[in-house]
This record gives sequence, C-alpha cells and structure tokens, in this order.
Amino acid sequence: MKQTEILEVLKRYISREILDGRDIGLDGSTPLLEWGIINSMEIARIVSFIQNRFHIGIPDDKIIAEHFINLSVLSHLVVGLGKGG
Amino acid sequence: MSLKDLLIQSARHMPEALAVDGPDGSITYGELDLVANRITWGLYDLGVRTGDRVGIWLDKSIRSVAAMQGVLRLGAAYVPLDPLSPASRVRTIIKDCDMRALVSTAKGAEATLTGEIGNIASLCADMGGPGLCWDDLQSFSDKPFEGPETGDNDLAYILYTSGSTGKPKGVCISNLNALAFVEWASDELKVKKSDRLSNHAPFHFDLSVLDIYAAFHTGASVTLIPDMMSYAPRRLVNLIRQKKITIWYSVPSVLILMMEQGGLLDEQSIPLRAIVFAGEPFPIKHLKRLYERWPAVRYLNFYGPTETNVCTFYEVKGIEDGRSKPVPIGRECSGDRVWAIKNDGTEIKPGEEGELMVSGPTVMLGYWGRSPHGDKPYPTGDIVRLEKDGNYEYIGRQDHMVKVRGHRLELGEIEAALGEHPVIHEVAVVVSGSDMNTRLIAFIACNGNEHPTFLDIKRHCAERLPRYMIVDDVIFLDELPRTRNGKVDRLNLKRDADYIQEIKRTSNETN
Repeated sequence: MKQTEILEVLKRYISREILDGRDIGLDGSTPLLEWGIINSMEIARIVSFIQNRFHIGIPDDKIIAEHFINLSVLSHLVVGLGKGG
Repeated sequence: MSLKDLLIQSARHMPEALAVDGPDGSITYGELDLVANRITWGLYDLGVRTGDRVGIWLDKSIRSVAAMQGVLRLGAAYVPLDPLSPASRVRTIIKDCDMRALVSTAKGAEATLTGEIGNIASLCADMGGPGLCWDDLQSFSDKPFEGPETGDNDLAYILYTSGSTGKPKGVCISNLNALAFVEWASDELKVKKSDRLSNHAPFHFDLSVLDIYAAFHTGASVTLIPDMMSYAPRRLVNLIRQKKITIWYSVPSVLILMMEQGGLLDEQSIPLRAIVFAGEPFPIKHLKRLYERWPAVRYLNFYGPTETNVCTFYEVKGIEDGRSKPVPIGRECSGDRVWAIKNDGTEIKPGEEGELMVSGPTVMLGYWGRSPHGDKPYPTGDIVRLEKDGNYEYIGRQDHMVKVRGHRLELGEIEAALGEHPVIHEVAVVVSGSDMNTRLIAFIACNGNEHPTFLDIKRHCAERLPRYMIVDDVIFLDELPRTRNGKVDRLNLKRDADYIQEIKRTSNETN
C-alpha cells in the first residue's frame, strides 16, 4: 500500500475509535500526542490495529514518541516497516 | 547535612561507582560531582546567587540531574518543569517565582525567554541558544563552590501543582522536608550500594525525589526512564530485567500496563526486591495478581500530597480472598505525626471518618508567594477512615481536586483555561470512570449557535495546560444545569458523563 492510503486508513481508525467521528481538522500533520488525542493506552491499541490491518508489527524499540507525533510520520513508519526496514 | 551533600559524600567515598544511568549515557559519582561543580560556577557566572530560583525545563537526562545538583550547590532552589507543558505555562511559572535563570534547550529558551522575561539568564543543555550552552561549561572550574552553609529550612526546590484558581501554585520544599523523607525511605527500604532504583516519575512529580536522593544517600544507582518509554510497557519490563532494577517506584497505572501489555507476570524471574507505589489507589484485583505472581518482593504503598511528601505508608503482607477495597495508606512515617479530625474538630476514633492532618518535618515551607505555612498542621483535604488495627484507609477527596492516572489536578484550572476561549460562555469539567479508564469530560455552553470543534478544544487546552490536563471528551449544551441555589449541578453532570462513558465502553467491548 502507498503511504497516502495507509494514512487514510489510520485516520479513519482514529476518527472512529478515538474521536467518535469528531474529526474536523484531523489531517496528516495534526499533533496527536501534543494535543492529547492519543496516550499510552491508545498507542498500544493503534499498534495492535496496525498489526491486524496491515500485518506489520512495530518492534518495541520503534514504539517511541517521535513515531506517533502525527499520522504522516506514523504512516511513513508503517511503509518503511512494510518494506522490511 | 543538606540535600546537596548526599551526592558530594557518595562522590567522595565511591567516585568510581555508577550514579545515574540515563537515556544520554551513564555517569559515576565522581564524574557527576565534577559536572555539578562546573554547572554551579556557570550559573554563578550568569548571576545566580544564594536564595535564587532556577528553572529546569528538560527531558529526563543526566544533564537535568546534574543541573539540579549544580543549583543546590549555590544555595539556590531548583524548579523542575514538566517537559510536556506548553511554553505559555512555563512562562507563567517563570514569572510567578521570579526565576533568575532557566536551564533548558536552545529551542525551549527561545520559546519562553521573550518579552518581559527576555532578560532571564539561560543555560542550554544543548548547543546554541542565548546565554551559556553545555560545551561552554568546560571553561568553568570543576572545583567545589565554597558557598554559604545550607540551613534546614532553606528552600531546596519548588514543585508546581495544579491550582484551583486557574494558576499553578508552587509547593516550597526545604532541605529538611526532603531529607526527612529520603532518610526514612532509605532506611525502610534498606537501600544499599548494590541496589538499582528505577526513576519512572518525571522530575516535577514528587515521586522522583525518592529515586534520585535515596540512591545518592546510599551510593546506589538510579536508572532514568524516559517518558516516551511508557508507551511501550514491554520495554519497561525488559528494562527491569536488563538493568537489574531492584527497587521500582511508580504510580499503579504503570504497573497495571506492565502486567496487562508488558508481560510482567510472564517473566521467568525478576530482579526486583521491592515495588513501591503511590499517587492513586492500586485496584486490588491487579495488586493481588502481582503479589501472588511475585510473592518474594516487598510491596509498599506510599501516601502523601506534594505538600507533605510521604507521610504514611503501608506494607502489603497478604491480600485476603474476597477483599474488594484497595490496601490502606497505613500509618505515619518520615518522623511525621498524622491524625484525622471530624467536622467538629475532634479526632476520629477507630471506625470513624475524617480529614487527614499532618505535622512534622516533611510538611512544606508553604506556597510560593504566600505566607509561610509555619508549624501548624497541614490539612490534606483527604477523607480517611481509621481502622481498628491503627491503619488509615483512603476514602476520597472533600473538594474538586482529583487524581487522573496518578496526576493531581484541580478541575478549576482546566475550567479557567477553557474559559479563555472566546466562544465558550460557561464550562464545567468532571471526572468519569476510575483507574485506567479515568476520563476528563468538559461540559461546555457557547455564546452563540456556533461552537468550536473537538480538535479546536484539544488544541486550546494543549496551548495552556500540561498534557495530562487536556480534556478527553467534550459535550456541548445550550446551558449548564443548575441546582436550586443557582450553582452548576456537578452531580448531575457527573451522572451524565458516567452514563455516556459507560455506553461508549460497552459499545467498544461489543465491537
């Protein structure tokens, strides 16, 4: 999948599961951690969603704040891991 | 003896021993002592003097620990600031306690030290920025700074907590306040040189005082756990194993995450000999699982508001089947005296409830900018019940102060921040749920028909409040419900919030 497609899937997940559909203004650059949209519990849920949806596991050492800053960064990480990196 | 002497003495007796293991490397007592001396001379060069306040706005690191020690050696007081706080809140605190200097990053200094506080001295822990940067410290002496003797009642540090009026308030802790707790805790936990303590709590949180200073007091080492590692509970469990942590101290929420998602109960063995928890009640079903999986570990529940540090403790020595309440907060410690009083001012007897009072060496000097607290007892605002065996059991709060995932906060501060939004006419924030499911819910009435989006509200909070105070949910109403005497009907709002959260939880579980 392309990065833009992954970003859309992740955006829909956050909109549905975390924001209850109230996603006006949510895009690739929205600060997810800084605005308190996601916390450690939700990060664990997102990691699990990515595993189930894309069959891509995020290694523990990649589960750091820098990779969850926004959807754009997170989707790049997923693409990179999907390519074996 | 003062707080600064703990590191100095360990450096003298065991310079080669590991002092701090952090995300930026590890450092021995001898090396840390020299870095602290250079910081002291650097801060002196910047104009910091005995009695001044110096802010430390850094991620957790060896440099931030060294900065604290450098400040203390000048006879000044450090003010640890939440790395996740927005610059606007940091500026409020800088102004409130009239800081002389800020130790931060170049980016942090540029975001805060402007306008009316643009003349505050700056030491940057990285490169660039105004004032001194870290590499500049090499040009300063590593010899001890011969400052004035530090007295028991001299200010050591200020911890800012949430304030009900919308402005954070600074809890002033003296050398005696901190040492009385550190000495008691080191003794109770029998901390020795071979121990490795974990430091999970951020430095602006009073839990971190034990980790750092009990290590320095005994020549043990402390392992700093960066905030971002909390996102990966498995990494925390791996860290315990790899770093051979012997004493763990955190809020129960973190331990629950480590059990639920980090595999703490699945390990073959663990190096821990003591698990200390504080900051919120530990749900008994989770504590029981932990206790039964690792029965050789000591489990201690520490209790105390920031204003008194730890004033009671309880050691878990068995959890009976069928117990549904959390373990007690226990009995007095740290040389303090604790008791509880009823509304009529008389002391409670076994079986009765009342407000917990504290007096003794750990009770704060006072709030910054207000009159000293003096020798009078500190009323905690916590309602407790005295059990027949002499232990106190925590019942709840008697005001709007709440704990959310271990963080203490005043709902009034969140309401004041939201009230600054130009469209918001009225707001009430309530807490719904408990333990890991605790949520901050804002009920908002706006001036006209248009109301801000959910993400607008999130951003508005993020620009004014620390991250743990950003509301989790928002419900817009035409107007807030009132009681018969005209006050906002918070009980009604809480019932609504609980109902809505329950529906969401059920819906999530069904999906």
